[in-house]
Amino acid sequence: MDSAHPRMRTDAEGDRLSILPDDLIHKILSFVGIKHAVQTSALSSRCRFIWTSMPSLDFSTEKFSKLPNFSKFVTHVLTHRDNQIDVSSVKLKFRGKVTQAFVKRILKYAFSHNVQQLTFSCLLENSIEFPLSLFSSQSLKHLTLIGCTKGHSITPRSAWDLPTLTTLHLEHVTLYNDNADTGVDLLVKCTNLKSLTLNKCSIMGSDDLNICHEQLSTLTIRNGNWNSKVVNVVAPQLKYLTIIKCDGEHRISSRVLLLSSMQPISHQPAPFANLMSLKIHPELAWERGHPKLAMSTQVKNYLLDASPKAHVKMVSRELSDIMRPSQEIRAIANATSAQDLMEELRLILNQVDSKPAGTKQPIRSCGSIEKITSCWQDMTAAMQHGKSGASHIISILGRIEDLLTELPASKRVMMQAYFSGLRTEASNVMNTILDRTMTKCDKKERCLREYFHDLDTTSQPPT
Amino acid sequence: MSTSSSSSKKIVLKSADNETFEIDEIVALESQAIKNMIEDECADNVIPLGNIDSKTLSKIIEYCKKHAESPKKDDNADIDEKAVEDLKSFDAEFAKVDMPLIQDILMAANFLNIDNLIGLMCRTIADRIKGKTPEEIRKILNINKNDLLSPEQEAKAREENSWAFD
Repeated sequence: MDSAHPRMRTDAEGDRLSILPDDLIHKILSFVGIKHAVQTSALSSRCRFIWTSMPSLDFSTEKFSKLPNFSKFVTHVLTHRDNQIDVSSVKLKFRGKVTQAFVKRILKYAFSHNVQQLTFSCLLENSIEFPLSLFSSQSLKHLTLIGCTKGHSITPRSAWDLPTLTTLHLEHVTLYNDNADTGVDLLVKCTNLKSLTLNKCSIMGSDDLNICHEQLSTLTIRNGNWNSKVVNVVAPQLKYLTIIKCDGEHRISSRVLLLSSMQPISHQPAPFANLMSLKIHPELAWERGHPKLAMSTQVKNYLLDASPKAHVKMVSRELSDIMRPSQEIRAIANATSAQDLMEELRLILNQVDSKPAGTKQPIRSCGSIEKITSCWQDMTAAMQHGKSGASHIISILGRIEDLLTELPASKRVMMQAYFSGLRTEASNVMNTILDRTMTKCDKKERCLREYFHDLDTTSQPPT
Repeated sequence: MSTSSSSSKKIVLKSADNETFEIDEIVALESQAIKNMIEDECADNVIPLGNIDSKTLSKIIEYCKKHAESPKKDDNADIDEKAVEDLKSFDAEFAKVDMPLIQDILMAANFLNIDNLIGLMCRTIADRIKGKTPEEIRKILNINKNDLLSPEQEAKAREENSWAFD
């Protein structure tokens, strides 16, 4: 295992940078940022051209004062870069009005260099049509498009030819679906799509949105602004479906989940096979006085017909909003009582520690029988005392433990450390209690034996 | 969680300076290279690591132990935030070593194929040179004097990439 690699130099004089392989230097440079990466070309001969073969390009306008400077910079990078080296990932974050041509130029470069991961995000309000449909790629696996929070800004229009795409994340994106005449959907050619996330997206055009992917296993739709459109999902491999806060007519979940109520479901196969987990958040539907969205047994059976292992969870906003505060209040109450109990325990432990080693019984001068009985009682009392002390401590420990398990993890961790300290202390104190009890009993035992002996010697009837 | 009971399988690593380290197999599995060896059943005896000294190796084992006993991120499992934070602060503390050791750890992690550790070391180096002048960077990275550009070459490099120097 050691033959293939040069022995690492361990002397402080060695220049370790020079012996690092290119991919490691590229990785360092990717953390440094592309602008500084280019500047390293003046550092040393090892660094002279190393940036030109960096496979990941991360462009962000945040580091540029003006947009023209930014687009000039990007152009420079693309022209000075080693044209023979593929690009594995391109990230572009821009604010302001970049031109369509600029976006197109970057896409063209990325696709012609077999890009696998592409991330575009707009930082300021800006409306561009995302011209991805002009390209076709056999390499792209991950695509993220994030529009601006102030408005839907990126609008992909026609079908994407991305057969290798597995992960797609769209945020603040308006999807154009106006190809009713040709019957083509935006994602219809993304045949390998496994994970799709739509957040704060809306649909333009006449048709409903169809999500029909043979391979799709994870679908997340949040904050869907569908108006009166319907989202149809046909995904036999779907395992994880999350639909949260989809407003408008809330047709998405009713369509997906109650699709059946509009058609005779018993004649149709279940829409999902091998569904593992189904979470439904039917919040707004209640406000609008829709028929309640609690699933009927019929619908549930239909949906889960081919998914015997599925776990169904209905979550409603009302319920979760009510639950959360009450759980929090309970958690706080639990934390407080746990703390109180720990304080109480602390006092008890201190008391036991500082208690004198046994209360002296007044020595009674009375007959042997009385002495023996009293001594025996003392011994039992000592045992009883030790037992009640220990069991009191143990019961408090148990109560604290119960309270702690009910606490949320974050609170629990904080208290746990203190509690384990207390436990150790409690165990020491109980040992002390046991020791004291034993000593007391030992003393009493010796006394008893003396008395027994006395009894023996004084047992002769007085003459 | 790691099963660090005495019954778990042990792997012995030997550093360049002939020091041996016995570690739990689960810790060794953090290294993709060792994992492959174990899977190919050629890790029965001592694994010699002739290009990693004991100081570097013990640091790497410290890292792997911590990461092996932390819960792994799973796509759909609830991620224990506390554990993530804990690991983050461990990483931050771990990286507080001098530059030669960081570069040694990086080389060794690359050889052993420990992805997270490679990332951590690259990020650490990047953080230390970010925003520094070329002279400072040369000093930080201890760039060999023989490797420096001549003044003319350096001027040419700056000229060529002047668009990135402003």
